Amino acid sequence: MYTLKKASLRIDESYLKCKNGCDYYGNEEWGGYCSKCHWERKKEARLEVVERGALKEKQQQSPLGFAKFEEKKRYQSDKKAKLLKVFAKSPNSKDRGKPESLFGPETGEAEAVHAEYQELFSKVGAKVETDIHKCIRSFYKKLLSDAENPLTSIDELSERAQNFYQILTARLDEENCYRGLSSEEKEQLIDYAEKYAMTCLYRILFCPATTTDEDKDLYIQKRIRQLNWVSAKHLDCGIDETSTEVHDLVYSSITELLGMDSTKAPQDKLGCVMRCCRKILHLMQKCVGGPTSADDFLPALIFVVLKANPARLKSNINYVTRFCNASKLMSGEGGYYFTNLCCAVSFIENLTYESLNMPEDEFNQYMSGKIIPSGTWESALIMCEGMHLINENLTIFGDLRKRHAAIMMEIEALKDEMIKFQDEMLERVSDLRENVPLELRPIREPMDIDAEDPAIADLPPPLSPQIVEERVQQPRPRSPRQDSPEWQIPSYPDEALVTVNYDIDLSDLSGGEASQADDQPMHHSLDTGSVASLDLFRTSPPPLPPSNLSLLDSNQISPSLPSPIKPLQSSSSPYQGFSSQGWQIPSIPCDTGTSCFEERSQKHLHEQGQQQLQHQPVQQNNVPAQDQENSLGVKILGNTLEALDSLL
Amino acid sequence: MKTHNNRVDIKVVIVGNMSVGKTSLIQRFIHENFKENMNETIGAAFSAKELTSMSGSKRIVGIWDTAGTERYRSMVKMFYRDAKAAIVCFDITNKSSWEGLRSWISELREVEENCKVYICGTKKDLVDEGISEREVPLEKCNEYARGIQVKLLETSSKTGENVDELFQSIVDECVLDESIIAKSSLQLAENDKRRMCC
Repeated sequence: MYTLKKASLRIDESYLKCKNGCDYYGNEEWGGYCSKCHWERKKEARLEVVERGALKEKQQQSPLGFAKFEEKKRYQSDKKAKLLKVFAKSPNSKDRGKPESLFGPETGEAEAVHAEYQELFSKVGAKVETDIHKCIRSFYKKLLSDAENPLTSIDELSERAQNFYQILTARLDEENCYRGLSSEEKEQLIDYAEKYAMTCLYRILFCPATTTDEDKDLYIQKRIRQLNWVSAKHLDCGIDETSTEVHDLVYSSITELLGMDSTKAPQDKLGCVMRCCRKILHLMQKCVGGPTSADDFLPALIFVVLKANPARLKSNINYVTRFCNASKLMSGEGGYYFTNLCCAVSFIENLTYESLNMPEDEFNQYMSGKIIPSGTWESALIMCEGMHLINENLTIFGDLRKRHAAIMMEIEALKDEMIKFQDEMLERVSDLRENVPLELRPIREPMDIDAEDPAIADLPPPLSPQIVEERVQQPRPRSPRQDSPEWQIPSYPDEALVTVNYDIDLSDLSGGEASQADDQPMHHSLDTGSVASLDLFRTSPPPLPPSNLSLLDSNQISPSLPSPIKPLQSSSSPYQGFSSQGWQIPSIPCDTGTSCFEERSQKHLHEQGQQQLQHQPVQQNNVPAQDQENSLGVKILGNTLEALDSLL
Repeated sequence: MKTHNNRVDIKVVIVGNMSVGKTSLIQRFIHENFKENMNETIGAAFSAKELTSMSGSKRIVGIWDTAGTERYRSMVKMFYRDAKAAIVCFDITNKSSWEGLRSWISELREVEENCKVYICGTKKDLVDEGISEREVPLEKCNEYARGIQVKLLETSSKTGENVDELFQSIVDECVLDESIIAKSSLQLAENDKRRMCC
């Protein structure tokens, strides 16, 4: 195929004849000889080289041998494990006297290729895998020994490779172990064989020393560098150099094309070309606005090749042409693109002022670097690069600014929230301060006790006096004026509270006339405990609070106080009895209860009154006044109680 | 269509001068449409389509578009390799395209001997609708085609007239050729065997 692209229409036919004078056409690549004469000349030359090489080898044998030995040893130690794996299936191949260093460097990659096709092998089974590896190995060995012989040309090797592909294809159709495989799997197997073998043989087959590939690489590289001034306009190519989207596509297609040199298997190289060309088609569609025809595509590809200047372009093309499965290269999509690439390279090689539609002088001046067109791709590229960068940075900045503003707003919001929270908290704290003044705490304690009262209130009111009577009757005979056994009763959880309660009771009773409280002793006792009654006391004239305070005082002072106080506490006994033993008297009629209570309380109150009269002077300085006020308060209380009673 | 890209049975090259309608012809054949909604597809440069031959066997036809521009003209012959058939296009409303036809055919015959050549006169609809005048008379075309023993069809990519027929006849002939080759190779093999025995 590459032989064809060398031919040029613009050259006179006589010039094309073989230099030897035979009637066949000559070829530039073959030094102007026809193929027959060329091969003969080449054979002669090669024989000479071999002879000379043999001589040289003799001279340098010892150092070379040592180097080889060392190399071998290194590979053996490094790759032993891998080699063992590879050779595991054919232990014979290990001792064939073949230098392992040839297989060594590619072993890792061959393994990678094998791993790539692992899925396929798991599908087709071990038998197929073994057989295909046998084929590959035999081909590998044959080709390796052929390659060692300097008389075999690269074209012969290429022919061997193509034969191998054909034989393998036939084998897949005929052999028993391949029966039952789909055509797709067979195709993949051939693909695998090609990839595996070529990856292993890459070092020998790519750009071999026997060819002039390397010189051609250098030539085309230099030529492309010379032509770097060629723009899309010169090629009649519709690439829109100003669009960034097109730019990006051009860049990515260039990248794909450059990637060709780094792959090893021919089909991988072909894949790079394919991806590159698909991107070009895509970008041409963007530029042209319709389906890309070959008229748009080829110039664009030439342009991309000129701008990419891929490394070892000619070697790569020749390698693919020689060793890629011909059936793939000739008809498929990859083949089409590859042919186009060959066209592009051929066009670049044979490019003249005519192909660019420009005067010869101008072309020559450009080629010699005397003038540089202002509107070249490069300068545009540099300009656009800067603009592109600026644009990119601007968008980044814009984004940053937006984000910054958002953050600032969030900060403000957070600040507001914090202030609001602070205000709220302050307000709540002040509210709490207003609503719940700290000073009232100690007074609240009795209120806590009140909370217990509702439970007592559940009891039927008339019953309670009976308890009191019973309770009181018992201690009386024994110790009428004693400190009371109740005083010692441990069943009360909080003595202090109980006494407080009693003090209230007492103060009410002692302060006021017994008769007033007598009517409804139960109510009275309950009410004294209730908040309402307390409130009444509190709102009532100032002298009353002292009485409350006195309760506290009595609690605190009681131990150090002289005996007169004690009756006070003893007086608590009836009530205590009532509250604690209320459950014991279910059936006693109300009347008896009240009468009993009346009697008792009257007696009791008398005593208490006396006691208090004695006691109060000691406790409080303003007793007479307080007494009066107390009686007044009790009167009021009595009235309210009556009112409450009537309401009830 | 994508699935056909890897394997192609019949390679068909389309050649012809610039703007004779090569790409439109491919577009019509592959996507069955004309310029109106060409934007949908990319790359009419290479395309493939499966066709069923008369004998019932299926073949994937890969179509290679070529550049018709004069400056790339010398490269086009690289595309001929291994092509089973070539469609040489000319514009029936453009006389110069007809004159270019001969050079295309001679080049084809020179490079790829076994490639079957088909002549395709495009833009038939322009003449049928009376928009343009026919510059290449049909009799002249037929005479020439008969002379070099190739098939001639006049097509319209706009209406689709004769487009499918053109490709169908290519597939049919290729399949026929295949069977002939298979038969002859079989005979050869038998002959070889006989010789071996002797």
